[in-house]
Amino acid sequence: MIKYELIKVVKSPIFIILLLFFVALNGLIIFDHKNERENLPVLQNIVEQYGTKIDDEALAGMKKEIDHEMVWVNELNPKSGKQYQFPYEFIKGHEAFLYQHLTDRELNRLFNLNLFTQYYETAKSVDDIYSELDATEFARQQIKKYGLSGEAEETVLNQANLLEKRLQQLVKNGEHRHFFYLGSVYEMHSLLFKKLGRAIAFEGMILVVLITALLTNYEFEHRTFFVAFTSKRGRNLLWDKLAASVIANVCAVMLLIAATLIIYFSVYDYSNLLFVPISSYFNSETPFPYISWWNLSFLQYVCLFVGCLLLSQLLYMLLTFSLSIWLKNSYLVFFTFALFAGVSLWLPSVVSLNSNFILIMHVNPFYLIMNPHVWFMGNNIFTMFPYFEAVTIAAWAVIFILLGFFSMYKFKRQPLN
Amino acid sequence: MLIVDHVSKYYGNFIALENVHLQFDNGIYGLLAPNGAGKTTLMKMLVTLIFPTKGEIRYNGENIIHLGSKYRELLGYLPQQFGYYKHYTPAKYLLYLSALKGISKHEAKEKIPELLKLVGLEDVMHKKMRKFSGGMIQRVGIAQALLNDPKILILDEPTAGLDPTERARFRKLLTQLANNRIIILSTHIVSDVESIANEIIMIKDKTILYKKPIRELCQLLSGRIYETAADFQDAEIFRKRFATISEKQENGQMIFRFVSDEQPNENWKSVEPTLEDVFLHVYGEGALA
Ligand SMILES: Nc1ncnc2c1ncn2[C@@H]1O[C@H](COP(=O)(O)OP(=O)(O)O)[C@@H](O)[C@H]1O
Ligand SMILES: [Mg+2]
Repeated sequence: MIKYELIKVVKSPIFIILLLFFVALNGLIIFDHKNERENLPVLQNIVEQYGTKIDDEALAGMKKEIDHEMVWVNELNPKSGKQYQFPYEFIKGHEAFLYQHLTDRELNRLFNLNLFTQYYETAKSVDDIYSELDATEFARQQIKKYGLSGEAEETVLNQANLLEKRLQQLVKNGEHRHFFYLGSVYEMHSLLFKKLGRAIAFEGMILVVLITALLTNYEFEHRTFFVAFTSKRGRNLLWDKLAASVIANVCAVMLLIAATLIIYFSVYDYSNLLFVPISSYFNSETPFPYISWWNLSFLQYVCLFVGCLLLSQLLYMLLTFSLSIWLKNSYLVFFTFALFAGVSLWLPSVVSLNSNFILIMHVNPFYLIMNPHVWFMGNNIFTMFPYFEAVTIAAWAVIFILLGFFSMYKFKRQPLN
Repeated sequence: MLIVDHVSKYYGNFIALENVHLQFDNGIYGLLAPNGAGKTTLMKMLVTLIFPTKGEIRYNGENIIHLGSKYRELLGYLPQQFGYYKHYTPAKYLLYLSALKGISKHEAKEKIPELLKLVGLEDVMHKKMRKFSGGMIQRVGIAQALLNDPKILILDEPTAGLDPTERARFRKLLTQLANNRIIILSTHIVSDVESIANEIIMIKDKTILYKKPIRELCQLLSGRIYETAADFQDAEIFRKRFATISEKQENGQMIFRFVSDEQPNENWKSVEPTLEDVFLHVYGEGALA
């Protein structure tokens, strides 16, 4: 029976069209800022030569390379006769000269050297920066920004303590001392996990709601339920529909994720960076760097990220399934689902900011996908719990599964007119 | 044996059926009543689409709701609005429904062409149903109801949309099927059941008025049906003076029939009552007589 249910999905061209459309859209997001990211190979060269780990040897080697290149730089401008140590000293104040007298090749070499130097300087400063990092101070600023007080403030500060401990451990592990695409310049983490992650989450949600509603309402919308639900399989047909929904939705979401990631990783080369810790300082885009709760490599983070995306989509499937049982009409289901999502996102904004209730309100399956770039991280005070994602998914899985069983129980006793 | 045991069905405050008590053994039962009488409501309860407000329906002593799939397995059902998928062919749709009915693919593939031939659709069994006429769809519905060789066959207005030849073929089909199963068909057309039903069930005022063989039903009016012929110009006078139950044209004259306990005058001829007379008497204008 599951086979017949799956055929209903495959035979609806809308899903293929939507899927292609979404992949194209994600492709646009990926290519959108490609021009600003054309200097990424500079890091590739560094990593190829010195490895991803920042150590004294790597720093010394890089310095030597800079010194060597500076000879060439100092020859470029014999008039002033001044000797520069670093390319940015030379570039500053000579912009007009550079663009008038240097060939494109020379310009490129100079700017790449400049970027190389930036990596070098950043790498050199990592230890100093982390010795001054203060998770509690970060939490305080955020608490002030969002206006938390009372019990909620206390909870967040407690969590900040936990983060502080994790920070110390991170430093001890040396997770921060790894080369990666400079976050402050390229914002690759935001591009992949926030822009694309969020896009995938919403696109997946649309696909999942459409597929699940189509399947569950199919007999009611085609008026074939009289025959279907009086057959031997009867109302248990809905279990087949649920199984088919799981298969169809997992396939659709995985196709969407896979296609998007394939495009992303073929445009941006991560081949040497897969095992760089996600909490590397180079990944950070704000003064307070990304701090994952565990020592995760980029690859591990991507896997967890995909898992979390997929599970959140299954939550939407369960909700849609139950809504469909009650409403029996796809349009009503979309509308109610949207309403549910809207209310879930709106409620946290009206809850008072002085009790833990505000934090509990954030444990909801729709808020979950709003900030996918800080999943498994301590960078958002409303989700500053190591198992925030796991708890959110598990709690709502239980709620939606119970709701599903209840809906099914009611459905078996419902008059079908 | 299927028993409808003092069943009432309310839609909210609206009473659709009240205290219906029926018993079915193998044979053909014609559920004959005008639109809105509650035929579909009764049938939907028999196929577990809806549930009695009061009372219960039992098959071989067990409540059909508790029997669940063991009961539905025995069921063939043609709903009044038979839904289908436009982009499916009859063969494919029946294959799909076979799977729902728990029939093996192998068995279904043998059975489906036979059934479609039985309802005269063998030429179009691989054509998409998009362009099918109402009568063709109805015949797909009839074939579908027979897929699992049902012990209980429930047909809600099966002749709707069928032309006279198709109706005749359908009646023949039913008589062939009748000997080892319960067949219940609803209709508001007397001729559908006149020649084939073992018993006629009439619903009136939300409950069962009669459940009798046709002969016994006709006996109810025995000696009370009169017929006379009149010219066209007199027709209006007739209609005003007598509560006629039917009139028809024959050889340029009007033939009137009506019910009366005694012969009004010698021009009126006493005739044998027909099922139509009973139907019209029960549900027609003279229903109170
Ligand atoms: N779902 C429903 N809700 C309310 N009233 C209904 C519903 N279904 C049928 N009815 C009413 O019940 C009565 C019997 O309807 P139905 O069983 O369809 O009669 P029939 O099949 O004999 O034409 C009608 O008056 C109809 O309007
Ligand atoms: Mg009806």
